[in-house]
Amino acid sequence: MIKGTGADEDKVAPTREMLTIMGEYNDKLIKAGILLDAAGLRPSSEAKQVVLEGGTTSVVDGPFTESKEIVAGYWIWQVDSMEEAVEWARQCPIDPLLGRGLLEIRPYWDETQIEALPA
Amino acid sequence: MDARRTVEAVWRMHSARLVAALTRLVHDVGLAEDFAQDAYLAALEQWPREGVPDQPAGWLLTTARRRAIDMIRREKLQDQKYALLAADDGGGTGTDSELLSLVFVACHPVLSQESRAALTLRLVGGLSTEEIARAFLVPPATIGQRISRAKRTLAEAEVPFAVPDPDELPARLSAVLEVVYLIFTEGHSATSGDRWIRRDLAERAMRLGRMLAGLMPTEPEVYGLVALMELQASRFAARTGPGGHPVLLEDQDRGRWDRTLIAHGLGALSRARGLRKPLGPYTVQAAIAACHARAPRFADTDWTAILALYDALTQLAPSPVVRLNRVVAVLHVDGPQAALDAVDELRDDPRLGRYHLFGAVRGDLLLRLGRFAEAADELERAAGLAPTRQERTLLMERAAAATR
Repeated sequence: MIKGTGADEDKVAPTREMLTIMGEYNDKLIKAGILLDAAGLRPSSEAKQVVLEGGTTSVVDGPFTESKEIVAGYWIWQVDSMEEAVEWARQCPIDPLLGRGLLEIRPYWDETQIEALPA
Repeated sequence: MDARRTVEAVWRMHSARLVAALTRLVHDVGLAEDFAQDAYLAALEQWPREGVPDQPAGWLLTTARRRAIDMIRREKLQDQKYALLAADDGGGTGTDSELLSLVFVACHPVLSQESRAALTLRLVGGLSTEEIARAFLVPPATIGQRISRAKRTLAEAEVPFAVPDPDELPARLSAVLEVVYLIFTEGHSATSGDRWIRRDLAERAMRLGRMLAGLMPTEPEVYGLVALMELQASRFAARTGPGGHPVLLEDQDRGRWDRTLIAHGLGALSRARGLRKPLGPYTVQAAIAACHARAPRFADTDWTAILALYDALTQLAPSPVVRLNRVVAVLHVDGPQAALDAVDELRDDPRLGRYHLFGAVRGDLLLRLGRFAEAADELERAAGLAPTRQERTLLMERAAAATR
């Protein structure tokens, strides 16, 4: 998942050029045989948040300009280790307008870990 | 995070293209691999001390090239081609075409099937001798020798480092896909011993398959193979019960099927079909697997579609195993008597004589027709032929239940 901040969201609206560069990166992932899924997400102005608290639910409309982290997209990879995931993530292109990128890598639960959970 | 594991990760990511690029430079796949290995060992030694470089792949290539240049100078090779090596600015690691060439060389027909598998896992998969040995349940020395001999054979036969010509391509590609599927099935169900599933090996094969699909996007059978492997692998978690015993398709908890793999597999199958070229056996098998993947419950399975696909598969790849699997489809479409008639047509095929699933299927059909004593006999005989303890136990239990 790539994240920018809510305040920066206007600045990082994808350009054709950025999509091309990201496409080349995805191409590398495809050719390495590790990419299972990938998608970009539309901006938070089109998003909603559902908050569940104290027995009630509320719905908040985007944009989320106060947010520190806006998820802009995600990938699902099949790799051998966290170290390998890190190395692939290091090659991800960043948006030149923003000057930085952030990818958060989350491993899936596997069967044995689920079975080991306390009741 | 451990520098050693990072070196291994980087190696796993880049070794194939590294070896491919070096092969272009030194014209010998065996030598190329040796230089790549040297670079790997150097990285293991230096990166923990000096930190991981910003461009790890470039570092490996530069280091390997230096060793290659040293060797060429030492051996005073005058060949024009080698003079180019010094002038080469290194560029990047291997291009797509070079990587493909490496795959085709590793799976060359001059090598035995097991040599191709070992060499592919080594050169393209970046696995060590120990890892390959563990995968195939043979001693490391055996794999070491197999790989050395394979490299010598390739050198002696002067196998060119190139993608095959269009007229040779179908047969050569078929050989490559066979190797990948062989690796997958080794991991999918052990052919000996007690372990039924070896996940890592199956994942390695899927990765190789996807890589090939990325490199050859106009070949439907490559996508077909990827789809087949992913759809089969999606059922791994559901295939073994708590005691380690195999769970049949009809009894599997479909909630435990991996939906991401199914989605990707169905996508790959779509691409295979979308290329509008004649469908090959892997694609048809994938289509059969897709019928199962799409059924929310066993009872929802579209057996008519599966039977039609088996009819097609029988034309494309008429093996007795395929015809046996077709019998199961006949059972669900036309009932047990029709299926028994179909299976009896196969009885004289000597290839099925030692195949435990033949007896398992026939025994099951006899059970459904109420011929219990014959069913028990058939299932017991099948148990005797079963390759794993778990399958043996399952068949013996069913034989016992038949005569209770």
